[in-house]
Amino acid sequence: MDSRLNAAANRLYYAVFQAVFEFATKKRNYVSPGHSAHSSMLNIVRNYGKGRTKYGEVFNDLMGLRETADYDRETPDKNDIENLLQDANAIRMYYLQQARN
Amino acid sequence: MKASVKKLDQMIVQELAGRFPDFPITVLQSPSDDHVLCVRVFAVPQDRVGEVKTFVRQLEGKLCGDNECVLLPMVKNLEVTRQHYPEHTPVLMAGAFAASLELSADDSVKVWQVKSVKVIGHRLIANPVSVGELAFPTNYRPNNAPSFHSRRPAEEAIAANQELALAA
Repeated sequence: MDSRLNAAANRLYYAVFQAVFEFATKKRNYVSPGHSAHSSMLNIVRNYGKGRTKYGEVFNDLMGLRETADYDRETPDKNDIENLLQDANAIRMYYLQQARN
Repeated sequence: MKASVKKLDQMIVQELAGRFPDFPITVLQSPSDDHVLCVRVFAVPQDRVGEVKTFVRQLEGKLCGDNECVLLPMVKNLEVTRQHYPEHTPVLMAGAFAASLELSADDSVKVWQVKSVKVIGHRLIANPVSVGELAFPTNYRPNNAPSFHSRRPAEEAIAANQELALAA
């Protein structure tokens, strides 16, 4: 169960991250300056498009869950992952659509 | 960013410790991103997790410039702390520390007995219980406890406490 929760948190985060990254590279001419892609994507979510405040907090929470999953001793809480599912999907769909427009 | 991380993490710890003096705190740069600081706060009662998280978010606005850094609030409740971070776990040691402590209050030295001692990090927080006719100083507050020292060295008390925790 532990490893599956770690994997779930990791993949949920990266599903959103990749969508924002695609938007950033296609529409914002984003070029990764080095070891700061995660904070750069968070700043895009916080500063661009709809639901900035809410989506910014959700993305920040997803980052925290992913850090816990990948680096901490405990696994992320199942409820915390489930509570973010809907918003994570909304952010992902929004940025994928923005990248295609 | 790297040059200022050390100074910044000290400021974060200082601000957090000022607001939440009972919770152990660590601030570490994320292995994934130089601009992300993971703020881990331990031993937080479940009903205060949201409060700590909100405070860390506000701290980001205060301490980090525009898009300069990101603070990740990673709040560990009591259960997670007990299970996975025993070094940050507060332990109640009822009875085992029932020795006399010298508490200085109102410019005088009084002798008390304690019912329990909470160990948080390297700090001991005494829960004094009066014996006989002794009464608490009227200005006594658990979070504003007068300074004290025990007849046992603090290190010994912490070691004994950890043994008790393991035995439990």
